[in-house]
Amino acid sequence: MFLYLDEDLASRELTTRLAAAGHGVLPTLRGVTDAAAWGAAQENGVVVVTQNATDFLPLAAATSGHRGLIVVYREGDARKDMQIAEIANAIDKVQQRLGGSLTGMVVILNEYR
Amino acid sequence: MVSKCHQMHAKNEKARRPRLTVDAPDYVLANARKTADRYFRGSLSDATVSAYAVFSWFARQRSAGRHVISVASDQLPPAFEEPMIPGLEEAMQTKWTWLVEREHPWIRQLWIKGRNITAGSLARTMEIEDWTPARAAHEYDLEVDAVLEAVRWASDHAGLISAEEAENRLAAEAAVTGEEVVPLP
Repeated sequence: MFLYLDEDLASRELTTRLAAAGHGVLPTLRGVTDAAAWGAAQENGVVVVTQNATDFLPLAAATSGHRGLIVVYREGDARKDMQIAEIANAIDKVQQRLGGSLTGMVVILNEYR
Repeated sequence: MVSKCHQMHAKNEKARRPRLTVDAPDYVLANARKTADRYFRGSLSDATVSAYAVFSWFARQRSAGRHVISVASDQLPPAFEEPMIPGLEEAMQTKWTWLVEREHPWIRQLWIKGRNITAGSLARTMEIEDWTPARAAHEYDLEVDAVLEAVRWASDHAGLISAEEAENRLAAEAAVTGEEVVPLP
């Protein structure tokens, strides 16, 4: 799967784990607006992975035929929140179940942990 | 200028500093680490030495028959003694070097300057992953001081961070249940 990690998810560890699992990861733009990040992902035909459901869901809703949006949300308890390793594993599960293309789809990653 | 001889002497002095070992429950260590990260640039030694200095001062005051109390700034008595704690005083500052406000429809947290990362998100990730400030700085290509400042801010604004996480959670759950998501204007 080809992915764009929103900036607060774009740690070296997650990027490395995803690359090691065979995913393509577009370099994250730093300091840009959510709309600009979303636009860059659409231009490059990659799936956006974000923790910011509130801002990216409307962007996806407003973009017909978008390349896919994966949302991770915080559970309100750090002990229950998804760790980076779980996020990487869950993205693998998404690919196994839904295939490499998420065109027009919104996936809540917490449901794949 | 510090002479080489003096430097070596200082190095030997440092090498001879005794180590302090204590038996404590995990939560005490966790709290001590949080304190160290927030006020002492992650140094447990500095946090411990400072904590003991404060205790000693407190004990001296009590032994002298004095009260150690807390009052509002506008109710200070005419004469008093106040301890100054390096680290804590710096942490109490409200001007931020690495954090900035940003206009945003619903996020009121401070952001890391020049980056699209909130202080709360960074601090939460560190908590989830059990990262040190240095590790977090490496993971996101940030200055360690920026991470420390974010942790300090987040520590004082836990309620706001939780509220904004809840807002995100509600939006994600609405997507699951198929509730309408209104596009941005």
